[in-house]
Amino acid sequence: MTATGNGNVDPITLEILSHRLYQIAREMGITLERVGGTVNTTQQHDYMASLYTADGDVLSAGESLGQHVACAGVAVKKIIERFEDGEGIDPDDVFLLNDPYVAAIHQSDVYVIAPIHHEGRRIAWSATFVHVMDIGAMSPGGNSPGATEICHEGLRVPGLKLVERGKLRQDVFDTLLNMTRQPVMVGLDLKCEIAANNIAKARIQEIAGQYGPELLEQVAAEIIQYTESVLRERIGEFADGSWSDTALIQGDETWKMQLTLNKQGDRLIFDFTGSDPQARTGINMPYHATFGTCFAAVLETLGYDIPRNHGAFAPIEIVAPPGTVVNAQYPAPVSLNTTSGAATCRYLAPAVLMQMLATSESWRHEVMASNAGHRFARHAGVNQYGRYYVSSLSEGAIDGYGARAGKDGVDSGGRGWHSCQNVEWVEQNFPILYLFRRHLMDGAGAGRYRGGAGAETALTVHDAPEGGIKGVALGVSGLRNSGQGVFGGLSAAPSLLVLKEDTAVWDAIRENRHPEDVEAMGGTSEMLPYCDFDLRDGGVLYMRMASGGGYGDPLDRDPEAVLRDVVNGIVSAESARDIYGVALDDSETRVDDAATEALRARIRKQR
Amino acid sequence: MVGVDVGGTFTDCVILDSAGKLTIGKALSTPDDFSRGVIESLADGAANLGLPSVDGLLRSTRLFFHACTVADNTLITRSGARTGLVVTRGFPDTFLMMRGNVTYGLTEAEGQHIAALEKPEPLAPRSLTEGVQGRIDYKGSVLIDADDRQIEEVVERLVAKGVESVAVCLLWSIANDAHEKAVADVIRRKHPGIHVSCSSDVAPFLGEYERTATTIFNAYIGPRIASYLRNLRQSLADRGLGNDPLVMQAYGGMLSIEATSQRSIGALESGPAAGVVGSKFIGDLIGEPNVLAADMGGTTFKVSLVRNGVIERDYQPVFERYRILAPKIWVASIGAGGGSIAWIDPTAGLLKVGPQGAGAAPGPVAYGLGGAEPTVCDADVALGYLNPDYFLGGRLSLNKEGAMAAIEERIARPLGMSVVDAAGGIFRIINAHMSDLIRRCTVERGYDPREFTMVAMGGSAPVHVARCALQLRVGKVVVPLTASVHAATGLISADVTYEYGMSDHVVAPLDPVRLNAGFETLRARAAADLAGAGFQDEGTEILRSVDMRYRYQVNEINVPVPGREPVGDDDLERLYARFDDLYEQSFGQGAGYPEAGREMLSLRVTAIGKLARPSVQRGGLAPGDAREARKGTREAYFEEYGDFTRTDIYDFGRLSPGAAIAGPAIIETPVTTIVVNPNDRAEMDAFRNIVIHVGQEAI
Repeated sequence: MTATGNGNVDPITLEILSHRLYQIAREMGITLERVGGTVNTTQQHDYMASLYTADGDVLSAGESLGQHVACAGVAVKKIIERFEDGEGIDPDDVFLLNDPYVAAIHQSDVYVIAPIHHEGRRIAWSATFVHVMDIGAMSPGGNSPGATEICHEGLRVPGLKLVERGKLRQDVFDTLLNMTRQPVMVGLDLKCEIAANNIAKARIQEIAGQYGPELLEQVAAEIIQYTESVLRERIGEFADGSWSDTALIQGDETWKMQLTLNKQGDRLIFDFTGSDPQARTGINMPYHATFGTCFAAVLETLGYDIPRNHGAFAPIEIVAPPGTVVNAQYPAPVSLNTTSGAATCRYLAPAVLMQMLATSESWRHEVMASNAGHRFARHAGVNQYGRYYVSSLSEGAIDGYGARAGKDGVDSGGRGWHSCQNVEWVEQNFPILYLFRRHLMDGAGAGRYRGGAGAETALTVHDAPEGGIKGVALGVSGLRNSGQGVFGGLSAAPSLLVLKEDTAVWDAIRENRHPEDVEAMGGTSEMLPYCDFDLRDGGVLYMRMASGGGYGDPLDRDPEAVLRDVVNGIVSAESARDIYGVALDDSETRVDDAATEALRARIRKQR
Repeated sequence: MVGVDVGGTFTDCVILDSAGKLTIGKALSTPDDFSRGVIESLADGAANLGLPSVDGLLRSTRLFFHACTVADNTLITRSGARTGLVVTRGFPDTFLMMRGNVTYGLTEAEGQHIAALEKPEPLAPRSLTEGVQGRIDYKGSVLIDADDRQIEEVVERLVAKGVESVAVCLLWSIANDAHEKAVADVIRRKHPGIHVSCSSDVAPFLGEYERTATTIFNAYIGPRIASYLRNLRQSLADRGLGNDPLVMQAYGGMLSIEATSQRSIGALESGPAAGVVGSKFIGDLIGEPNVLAADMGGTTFKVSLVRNGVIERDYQPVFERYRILAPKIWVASIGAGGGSIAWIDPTAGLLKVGPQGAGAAPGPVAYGLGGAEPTVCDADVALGYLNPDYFLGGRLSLNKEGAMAAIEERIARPLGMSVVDAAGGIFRIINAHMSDLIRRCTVERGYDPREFTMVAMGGSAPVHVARCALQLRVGKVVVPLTASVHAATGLISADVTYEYGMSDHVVAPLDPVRLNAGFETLRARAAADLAGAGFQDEGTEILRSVDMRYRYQVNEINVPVPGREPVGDDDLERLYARFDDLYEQSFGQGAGYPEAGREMLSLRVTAIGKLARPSVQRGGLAPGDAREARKGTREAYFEEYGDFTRTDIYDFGRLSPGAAIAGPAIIETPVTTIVVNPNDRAEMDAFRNIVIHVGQEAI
């Protein structure tokens, strides 16, 4: 089966136009980065920009996160439902939607959606989201650990016209901004979304003018058909079977998420039966978010090299019992989900797919140990220049990747397109002083191929006019929340956030000593679950990022690779000996081959 | 004056004599010792000029300009210095972390394959990384003192591990460089043979990751560049050159050998920069202030821009997989060249072209060097654009049958189409990719392509780029007379240029006293360097600018601050207005958000020492007749006709200024082939450049 199989469009025009569509979605994303107001958008690639057909099917996902591309597709369809027979959908209208009980994932991710017309007829849609810096929820920044129902989580719009026939509805715009703590920045965020949708409109209209709208529609149909047929063919290559895994979402309480993948013919059924009932904190996922996460996982594993579009919807089916953490019902709160429930699901869905991949000779090399833990923090307060701010720390971008078949995980490889802030940038803008930022030693899951090392950082307050700042600790916490090992590889050290208070770090600094050892800093320590916290003068926030899980037995690892890890500060000499069975000479610059062989034999015998 | 450009394959030489006549020379590059190729290309130039020897040429040379690939070669082959890194204690992995940007510098397809991602091998390994005591904050205040004894220990440890070069990059050295200087002093005092690069000298800008990467690059290539330039100076002096050569920088200006040896990062990609300067030179010559420099060689297609007579710069370019804080000429590129391979995506059944290329060997099938995969060049032969018997002036004969057979077997038959349709498809797809790149460089950045003239560089460009011009409505494509030695031409048109900058983060309103003090610091350094290079005040130009952005936004805009006088409050108001204008121009209407406030990030000063040069000779234009130069006809394919058509072939050498040719036609030169499409018209101008006037009809 090939895309040219139904033969309506010649393969050359098809190649040229599908490339163009990708470029347009990409250009929308660049526009978001350029005009956006939030570090999430401008520096961390936490946004979405994609194109849809006239009916709201995903046409081109560009470089965006798959789960949002799917949810925005739902949003487009909901806008069509709501407006088509009522107020109407006119050329140059722009819509806004952020209701998780309609299509959004949580309220902070605000969708802006625009129809694209050619000579009065609707031929496509574009959509974007950015994670706005504030949405008027209980906690600054939108992720509200204290919320127990959706109404605590900020403004919730099921769909409205933000721009009517090309004219911004200033009253609506001002009303929305008025409900947030950061009107200037949210204003920038909404403007960048409008600008990106305008770009999409101009470019698509250009193509329609040049090639005709009918050809565009044929191309859309063919590339969607193509993606579907490739995925079905690839799924069909595996023997039928079923693979399960469980993961825990941990806050003050613990919730279980259970997933079984049933592969039947050319279909994948993700069955979440057995997952816990929905929570009274915002870790819950709406159904479409659960679907979107599985959609993204399928594309990342089986479809990384094909156009990402609606064709990936067809072979996927989701079973998510209503009233559970994976299919929350009103009025369950959801604001924490992207860094808890969805993060857990982003671990589980690839994890069961990896089990399936491992059953096939031709796919085994694509197996990667999955990552579960992703933690970071938002912070807000008055900065050293006397201005109120809300921002987030981007340490999550220096997580370690899971190990792969034949390859170590990438150290501090992060999450694809996200980018970690420079220490100097943070210190210039906020009342913060970093004490260290480095790769975590012995954090990566050991294995024949080890997981990628994540980072650990510690920071304190410096020059804060109010004597401290506020924070929100984000992400799933608990012990089994980092990279999981596969095929005998070990799991990685858990990611965690620790708040230390009344430490002696400033005494050390005054005595010209670098506070590099968390244990030696003194004061009290508290593990932060998903919660609000205060970082006061003399306090330290310690953040340990997730590392990657290992692949295969650590005793099978090349001793020279272990030596390199010791030299690079990723594995200690003790772990080299006890876990990898590698003996180094006294200078720790050379492997003692004979001693290593003996050591490994002894460990094997003891097992 | 003489310009010599050492490229990957050829070393080119351009001589401009006092009468304004241009003479060229060419030799093969000699990677084992590039200076040998330099002398050989000078010998060729001297012979073309009727001089008996290189010595004769060099003795009468007033200015010698040079660009070389030594820095790029050092990087590509990873043959740089054994480089140590000194960082602030507690931050040993900044360089390795790369801010988590594991996809920087990768193509879109590579970035999406998560299971295959890797970070590059670091130029300075962790085993040669040492942390020193000392901590400075954002204000430049010392929180933790440096410790001289500990610095000495660290230095001795690195020396014991055999480092040849050391990069020093400490947190906040841009606010207070005392600790960096302390480390550098110890190394210079105790180990004068070791090359030292301090981040506060090399890249005095905010952001420790990028600053570290820049400093490491400088440290890694510095010793190699320094020793090459030292040898070159000697061997030219031995042959009679009376003054020191000047070396091309990636930002388009010239620097002395000493300056280049210290700040060698500027030598990276300086050859391509010279090519862009050459395009600006052509633009100046023919009176076109907006130039789209389009360079299509065997493997890549590159685009740079000249706007209003100023070459666009990139202040944070990506080299390989790293973002670097050293200005260079802005260039965008994709893997699209004559050697790009056409293939069928096995799952999609779609025809793809590139980004993989066949390289120089085996190269396209038509070269007959063992290449089996059809390339863009093979399609160009199959479509009748390239003359199998007169490729590169007949230096290489092309196997047209072989090319067609490969296209037939690998593309046409599997897709069920004719060879011609397959070749035409390859041609259209590569042109579409190139048009997309030009679109990204212009339309997406708010520039109208219709305001530009395209200058076609590189062997493959004149076959293809008129199609891109048509697609994007660029009205004029120029194929310069000096196309084959384009970069060397750029060399002889460049001026001595020093670049200075410093980070200074201020939220508007700016303080004129502080701004003037900053500019004065940079200006004083500029004046001293210009005087040291022998420039008097009247022959110099000092350009001031600041990098600004809207608060909370990411895009920085370099905004000129005209004049030399101290800046006053009125000037600041004009500066803000200029920034708002430039921002809208670059990022589109409504992109700016003045309500959020503006901020300044850095000050910059460019110091130019103007070099006097003769103007290039202009020929007399004789009206119109090209018939004399017609050397025959050939069947060539044009999509306007959907078929092959009998096409006139012209000999470039026999065309005279003023000659006009209506498309379809093909003009053959000893170095390239120029395709004039059906609705286009070509003419030879007074400088013997070919100018193609592109029709306005959409494809």
